[in-house]
Amino acid sequence: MKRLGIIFLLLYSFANAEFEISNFIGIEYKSYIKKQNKKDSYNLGLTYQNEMKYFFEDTKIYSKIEVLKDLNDKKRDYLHIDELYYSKSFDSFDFDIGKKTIFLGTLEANNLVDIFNRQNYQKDSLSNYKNGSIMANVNYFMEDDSILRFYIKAFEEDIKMPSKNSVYYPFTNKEYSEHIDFSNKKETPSILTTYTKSYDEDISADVSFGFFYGYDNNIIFKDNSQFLNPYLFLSSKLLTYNTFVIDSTLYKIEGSYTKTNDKEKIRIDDFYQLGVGLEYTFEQIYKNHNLGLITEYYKSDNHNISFDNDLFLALRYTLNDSASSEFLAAYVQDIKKDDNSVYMKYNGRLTDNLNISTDLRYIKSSTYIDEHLRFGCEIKYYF
Amino acid sequence: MRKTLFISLIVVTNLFALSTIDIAIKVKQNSNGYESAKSVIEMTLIDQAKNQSKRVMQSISFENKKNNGINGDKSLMEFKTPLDVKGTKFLTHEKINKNNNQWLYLPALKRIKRISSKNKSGSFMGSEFSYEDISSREPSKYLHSKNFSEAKLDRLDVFVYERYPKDTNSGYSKQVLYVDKKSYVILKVDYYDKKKELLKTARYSGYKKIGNTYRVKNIKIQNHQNLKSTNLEYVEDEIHLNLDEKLFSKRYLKD
Repeated sequence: MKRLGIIFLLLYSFANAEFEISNFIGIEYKSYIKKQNKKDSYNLGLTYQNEMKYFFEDTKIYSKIEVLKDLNDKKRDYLHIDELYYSKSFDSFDFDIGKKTIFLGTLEANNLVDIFNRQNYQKDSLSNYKNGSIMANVNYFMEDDSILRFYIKAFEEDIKMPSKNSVYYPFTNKEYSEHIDFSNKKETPSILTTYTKSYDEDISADVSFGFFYGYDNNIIFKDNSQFLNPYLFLSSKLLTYNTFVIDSTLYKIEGSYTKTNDKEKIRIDDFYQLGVGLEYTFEQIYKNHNLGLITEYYKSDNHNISFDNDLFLALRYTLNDSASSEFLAAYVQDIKKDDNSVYMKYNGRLTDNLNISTDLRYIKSSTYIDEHLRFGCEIKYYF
Repeated sequence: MRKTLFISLIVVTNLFALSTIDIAIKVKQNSNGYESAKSVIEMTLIDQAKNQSKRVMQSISFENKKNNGINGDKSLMEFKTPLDVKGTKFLTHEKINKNNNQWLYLPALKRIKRISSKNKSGSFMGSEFSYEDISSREPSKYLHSKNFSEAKLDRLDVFVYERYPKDTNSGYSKQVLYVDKKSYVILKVDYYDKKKELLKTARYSGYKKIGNTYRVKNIKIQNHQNLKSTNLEYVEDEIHLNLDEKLFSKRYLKD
């Protein structure tokens, strides 16, 4: 009888639920026109993504699975359950538990406060693809529309890299072990809390503040004579990210102050990171085409991070056509060093279900991959 | 005879007393009173070669009844197709004589992005509709012609008048409206560009009256300059839903 009741309840909830599913399969190709010696000259991969949503009253189950199969680098292959979480909404708060990806920040080139999920180095070291993290979170929604969020991350998953033959393998000829060493216990949780409020007076603004304690997003790679492995250290961070709208121009500020634990052991002092930017769009410069201008500047007293004194300039040309065609040209210059990067990208639709993107990227970096030029193309079929 | 004369005199007097702003207010009043609505919108983009491309959106909207002259309606639109932008959400808090507050949710990045909403005349989703065509038509956003004329459109008696956008960011110099004399709903709008040349014509059809509120079913817009057109159809449209205003907040910009 009890079993019958459970079956009835399950059938009832299934019949009254909304279910959504979407997929894409894709092919990605990267050709390395300028690269370091003895590295692969191209990567050819197949991609697949499945996204499922199941809604029932105030409950939601969400999952996102990603697959990458590289035809010449097995270490890039993965099947990730990137997200799988249960979400329940109450009157003034939501509760989520499971594997999840979150986004923090406001800038375009580098979100220095987006610290909770770790980067997916297998997919593309030069982009901001992230891996999901196992976490629980509560979002409180106040009467004045401000939002207070709490996150707790249970543990850190191994940090995987492409093979030694990959142009993006960062350790010359040293072997890499994905097993993490921790400065404290592996089980030490990472916590994050943020408070966000929107203003709509003379100036419209979204203002956010946050506090983080846990394993820092920066990774130290320790040399254990035979191999290198990732080492995570504890830190506390105060962070802020804000957008102000003044006369149709978006002004953006991101900043953080990090207090590191075990300074003597890790040899990293407390440090700050700051990013400021503005974004303005010239509308209908030709027919329906828009031209967006983005300029950002990054500064930090930690010279081990990539955006420590860098200027970013970008132009975004949007055609506003049925293919949603968009061209992006961006330039990053390290102000003290001679390092720089140029990036050009096109993204659009061939048919309603077929999306194409191509990019050309040049990097000159004395500390990472010397002089590097790549052409990339990705086609995705959505169904 | 005397009674007929008297009634005719009242009708004529009323007609003469009617101004274009009165017509505009009546048109707005006829679309008011939906309280909150939920719609599924199908948009078909047709190019010069008659190739078609479909977009499907789900939208909820909330009527601002406290007309304080500052805040307008609120809406939350979710894109269902094309599939590469499925789940993208667009939250708008309309302002009467200011730029709207707008946020975009990008599901691939899990990012909520505030956007600048100066763009009134830009194309909406690659269609022939601009952002100002799909936002609510507060009469106070326009100056109206002094006079109106009467004409026939598809065998219906209509008022014809002009309105001129106050917003300098509008893509139009003027709009010529054809309003049904009986029901005070818009049947046709001719849009003139900044060079005062005819740019687009929109035709409205399939009105249904729910309570005191008129809801349109189809809008066809033809661009006379690039020869492209867009058909917009409200596949589903429910009003008086008693939706909570809290639904139109950043809380719901998520997967």
